[in-house]
Amino acid sequence: MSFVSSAFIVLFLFVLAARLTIGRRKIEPAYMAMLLLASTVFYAWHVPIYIGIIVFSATVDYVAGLALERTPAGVRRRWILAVSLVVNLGLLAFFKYANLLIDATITVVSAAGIDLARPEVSVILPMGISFYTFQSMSYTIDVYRGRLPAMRDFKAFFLYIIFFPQLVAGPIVRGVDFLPQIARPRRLRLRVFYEGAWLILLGFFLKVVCADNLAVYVDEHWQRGMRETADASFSLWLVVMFSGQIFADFAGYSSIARGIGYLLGFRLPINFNAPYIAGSLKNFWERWHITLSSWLRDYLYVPLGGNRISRARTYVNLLLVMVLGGLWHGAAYTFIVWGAIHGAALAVERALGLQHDRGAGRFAAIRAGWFVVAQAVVLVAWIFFRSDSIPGALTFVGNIAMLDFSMPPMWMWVGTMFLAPLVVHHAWAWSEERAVVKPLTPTARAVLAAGMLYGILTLYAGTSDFIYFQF
Amino acid sequence: MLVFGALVGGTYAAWATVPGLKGRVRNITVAQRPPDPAYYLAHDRGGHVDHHVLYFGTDAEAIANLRAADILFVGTSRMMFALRARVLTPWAQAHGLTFYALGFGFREADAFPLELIRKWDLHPKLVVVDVDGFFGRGLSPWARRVMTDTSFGARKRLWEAELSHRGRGLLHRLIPNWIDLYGRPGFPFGNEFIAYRSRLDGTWSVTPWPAPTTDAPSTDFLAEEVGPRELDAARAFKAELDSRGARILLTYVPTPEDAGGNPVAIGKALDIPVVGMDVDGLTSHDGSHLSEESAVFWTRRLTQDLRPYLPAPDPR
Repeated sequence: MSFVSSAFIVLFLFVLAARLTIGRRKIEPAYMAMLLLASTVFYAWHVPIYIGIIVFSATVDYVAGLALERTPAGVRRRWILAVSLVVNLGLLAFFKYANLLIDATITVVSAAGIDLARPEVSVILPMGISFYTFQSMSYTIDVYRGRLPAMRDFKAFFLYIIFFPQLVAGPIVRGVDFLPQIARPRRLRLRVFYEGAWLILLGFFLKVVCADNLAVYVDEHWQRGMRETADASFSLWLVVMFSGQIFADFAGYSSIARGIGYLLGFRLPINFNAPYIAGSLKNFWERWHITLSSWLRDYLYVPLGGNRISRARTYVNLLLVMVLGGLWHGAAYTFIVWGAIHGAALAVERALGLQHDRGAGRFAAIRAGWFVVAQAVVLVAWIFFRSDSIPGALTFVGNIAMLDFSMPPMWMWVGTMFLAPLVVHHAWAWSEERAVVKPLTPTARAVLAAGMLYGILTLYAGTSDFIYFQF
Repeated sequence: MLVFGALVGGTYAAWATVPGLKGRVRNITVAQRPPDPAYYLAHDRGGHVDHHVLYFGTDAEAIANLRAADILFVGTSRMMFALRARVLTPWAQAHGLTFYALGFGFREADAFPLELIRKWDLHPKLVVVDVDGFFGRGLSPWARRVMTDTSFGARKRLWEAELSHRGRGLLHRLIPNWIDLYGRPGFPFGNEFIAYRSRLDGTWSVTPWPAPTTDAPSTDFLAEEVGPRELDAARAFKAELDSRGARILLTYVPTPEDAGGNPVAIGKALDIPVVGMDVDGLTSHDGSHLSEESAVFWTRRLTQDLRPYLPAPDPR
């Protein structure tokens, strides 16, 4: 179920009514049952049978958690963890990577001179599998590491996995952050209600006004950008439009999820923090899809040795983690290249010592220069992310590299208007971080909220799925 | 609330004073309702359900009429905008025939209608194909998605689309959507539209229908080559129809920007007659589809050209 659908509005009104009546302290069993039911309906709305997969995945990690707690340190604990990881990653691999693995196998085998017919594997990707698998895995790993006690109440554990606001596109919530909240009473106070409503409004504005309108231009013209006939202005405009679209789409979803979480009595972590003002690639990943990048850091980069072994190993780890991060998005070589670009650029940045966002005086010029480089890398990587083939993406990059800029026609300028709110959003965040401006007062927020509501009602574009639903 | 009220108040003030705005709002209000009960919702911003209805057979009457049709018209959205029921219906009744327009939007080409012909085991007597962008393009991404959907998924989508459509209708009685009214600023393809499909004959009713903007000249096909991919697809399409006892005719709806396809060359290579050609003086409302008056004119011309090929009506 999508947040931008009439079905969701109906479901949400039911849940909100429950919060205001039977869930005033948030911990009432009837309210918790209502949340579980609503989350199950939300998930089953996509493909009902797939509820079995999420139940299976949750059961495996629930049992693994209990087993880990009862088992003393040793090989047996490692085996329990391994079984849980293999099951989770196996599900992910089957649903996401079966076709890619078949293609790769056929390529390798045919290179050896053996012709294989390609079997058709047509499976619908279970919605949000990449997100809830990572959540589930983080729980088991944290129990294994002794950072989290095993959850004994299966219903509570299942609510952590299936909690509908963050189920299909994050934020990726960790057990250590969410599970303690389940038993904590939280009354719905007016301030919290306003904060939740503000986040929901902001999210819907980003999605239906910015992302969906930008998507109309991007979807219509992207193929043209991959042809050699496109000039530098057009191709650059297109990728800037896409960078705005994907930010507004994904940050919009996260904002709605957090807002709904607030209203229902749960705090979900922040997932985006004005990523296009990042002065370095490291800083970009501290601002973009924060819950994924911190997940990759804590559960992959650090166990691989992080930066503790050697310089060379650090660079390899960065590359490996980002390639796997790319692969997490889907079974396509373009995602792998996207991850590799980020990984390689992070390694170069680290080698040059530019990963820390500090330095003034004569270093300020270098920092400003590196800001441009870092954001250019992000833009180039988006080209691979959005394109459906590597040759197409390379042509796209080549078109920009030709630097044959010309004055864009009026309709391109007008399309760029939908980027304006995002530019203001980033500029405000930049100014606020440097204490140039003060945080918005409640009155200013109310005025802005009214403007956004008006925008949502009068400027929304056609409904489209959230981009991250496909992951 | 004050600010929101001021914005809404400003909108009403504009409504009352800006020339032409009232008329545009009225167009949208009209578009919120089907032209008559025989039409069902096919496309709105809340959802595109046109493919789902005919693929999953969620409207029994539409499928019954599709199966009973003597003549099928197939093509992309250009064909669907061009075919006007107010011309076709009396013409078909006068000849004792039934027809069904089986074209789709989303640049849908030959593969999806062919799927439907097989799925519903259609046996029309005559099939008229708008060649523009039709042969050899496979399924659109949307059709692929529809075909992997489930019956539950289709019904869910229909329910959501209908609910959203009604919700929009109510909302925009109070406050307009500026993109609906003026089109996406600078975007060359004009306004969003709402489409209804007739369950009686499959034709679309599209409102609002903006004013003509460009000429849609007829094309000189003598010089244009036809590729093997296109020709093979046309041959396969014809073979399927032959096996079902249907005769095929080719046509070409004039458009300012054709999507490729040469009816003359394909007709010559496969021995298929071509009809409805060389209609001059037409216009397009959006740079792609015919305007209302041109569509009516073109449909009239098509029906005249079809006369020698019409099948004998079934005794009823």
